Amino acid sequence: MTNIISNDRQPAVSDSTRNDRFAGLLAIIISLAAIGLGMLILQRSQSDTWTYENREAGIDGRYPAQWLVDERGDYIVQIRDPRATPFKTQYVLRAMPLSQHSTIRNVLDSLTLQRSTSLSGYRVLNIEERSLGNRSVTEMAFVFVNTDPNPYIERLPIIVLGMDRVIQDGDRAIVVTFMSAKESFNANLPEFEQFMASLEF
Amino acid sequence: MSHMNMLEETRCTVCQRSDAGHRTYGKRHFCDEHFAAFSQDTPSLWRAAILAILFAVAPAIGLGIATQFFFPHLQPVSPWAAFILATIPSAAWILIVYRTSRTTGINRSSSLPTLFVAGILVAAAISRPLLFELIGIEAWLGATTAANRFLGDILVHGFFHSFMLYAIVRYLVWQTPMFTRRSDGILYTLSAAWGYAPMLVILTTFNFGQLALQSGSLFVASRVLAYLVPAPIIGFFLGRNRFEDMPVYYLSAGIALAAFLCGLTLYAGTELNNIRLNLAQDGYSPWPGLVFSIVTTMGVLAAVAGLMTRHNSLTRARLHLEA
Repeated sequence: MTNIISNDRQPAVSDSTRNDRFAGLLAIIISLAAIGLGMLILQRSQSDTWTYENREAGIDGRYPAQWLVDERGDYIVQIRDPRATPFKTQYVLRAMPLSQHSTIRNVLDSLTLQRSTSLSGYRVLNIEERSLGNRSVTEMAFVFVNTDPNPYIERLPIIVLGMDRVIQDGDRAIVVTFMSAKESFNANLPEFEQFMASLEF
Repeated sequence: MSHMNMLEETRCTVCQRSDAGHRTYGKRHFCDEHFAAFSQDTPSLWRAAILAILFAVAPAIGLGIATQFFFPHLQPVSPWAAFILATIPSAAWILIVYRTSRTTGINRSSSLPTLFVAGILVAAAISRPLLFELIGIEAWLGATTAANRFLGDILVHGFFHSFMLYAIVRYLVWQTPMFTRRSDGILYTLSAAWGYAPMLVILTTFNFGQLALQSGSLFVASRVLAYLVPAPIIGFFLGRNRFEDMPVYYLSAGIALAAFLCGLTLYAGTELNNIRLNLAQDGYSPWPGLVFSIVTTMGVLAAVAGLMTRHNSLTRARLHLEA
C-alpha cells in the first residue's frame, strides 16, 4: 500500500503484510459466499409448496408454501399470499352442484350475479372454452375495484384482475378462481398454473 | 537484502517510524512507545460499553412496563419515538467515551466521530437500501420455515452486518497510527456500531410508519442490541491481528463468529416472542426476545473483555512490561 506522509513525517497509513492482504481478501470472499449461500437457501424455499387436502370435497393440490388457508367462508378453501400488497393474491376453490338442466354457463352467470352486488366495478372481460391437459375448462376473466372499507386509510382503490376456471366433475362444477392486483397478475399467473396442474379431484 | 529494505522491514507497524527503537512481537516491529502501548488495558472502555447498553434498554423497559401495567390502551405513536429511543444510547456512548478519555486510558482519537458517522452512512446508504429494499430480506424470511429463517438470519443478516462493521474499521482506521492498542479494535468497532445499529432500526421503524409503545420500544432495543452484538467480537479479532501476525483465516473466523451471534440474536429476538399460552393456544410477548438480546450482548461483552484483559496481561508478563 502506498504510504501517505503526514505533516509530522509519520505515514498516515501503514504497510500491509502479505498475510494481512490475504486475510482481507479471504474475509471478503467468505462473507460474500455466506451471503450468497443464505440467499440461495431463501430463494429455494420460495419455490416450496405445501399440500392442501380436503377429504370432504375430495380435492387435493399443492399451493405456495407459507400462504394462508381459510376454510371458513362459502367456499371449499381460500388460499392467500399474506405478503402480497396492496391486494392479497388468492386462489379460491368452490364446488357448485350441477343439475340435469344446468350448465357451466349457469354457474358463471350465478358467480357474476353474486359478484356484481358485492364487488365494486365488477365486469366480465371474456369467457372462453379451453383445454388444459386432458381437461376441458371454461375460463372467465373479470375485473373489479378493491377499496379499503376503512375511510381513514389513505390509499387509492386497486384494480384487481381475476379468472375463474370451471371444470365439470360429475354432478358438480369445480370453480377455481385466481385474483391478483392488475400490476402483479401476469407475474403471479405461472404459480397459479402450477396450482391448477396439481389439483386432483 | 539492501539497506532500504532492511529499514522498511524494521519500521514500527503503528507509526512507521524506523528511528525510535526496534522491538519485535508476533513477527511485527514496533518503536519503543508503541511496543509499550499496544497491550495496555482500558477498563473504562468496558464501563462505557455497559453504560451505553443500559441507556439502550432502560428507557425501552421503562416504557414497556408503563404501557403494560398502567396505560395498556395507548395508541401507537409517531416513529420519531423510535428515533429518540435509538439515539439516546448512541449519544451516551459518545459522551461517556469523550468525558472518560480525559481521566482514563481511552484513545480519544478524532476517528471516533468519523467512525460513528460512517456507521450511520453505511446503514442508510448501503445496508438499508441493499438488504431490506433491493433484496427484500424481511419478506423472504417472513415467508419461509423456521429452519430456513435461522439459516437466513445467520448467513444473510449476520454476515452482512458483521462484514459492514468489519469493513468500516478495517479500511478506515485499522492501518493508521490512531490504532495503537488492541482494545482500540473494540473501541472503534463499537463506535461504528453505535451509529450503524440505531440508524438501521430507525429506518425500519419509519418504514412501519408508527410505533406501538410497548412492543415497539422493546423491538427497538432488541434490534439495536442484535446489530451491536458483532462489534465487540470483530473489534477483538481486528485488535489482536493488528499487532501480531495471525493465520490468514483469523479475521474471517472472527467475522463468522460475529455473524453467527448476530443471526442467532436476530432469530431468537423474534422467534422467542411467539409464546405458548396453554396447550391449545399460542400468543405473543415482546419480552423474551429482549431478554435474550440483553443476555447475549452482555455475555459477548463480558467474554471479550475477559479474553482481552487476559491476553494483555499474558503479553505484558511475557514482554516484562509494566501494567
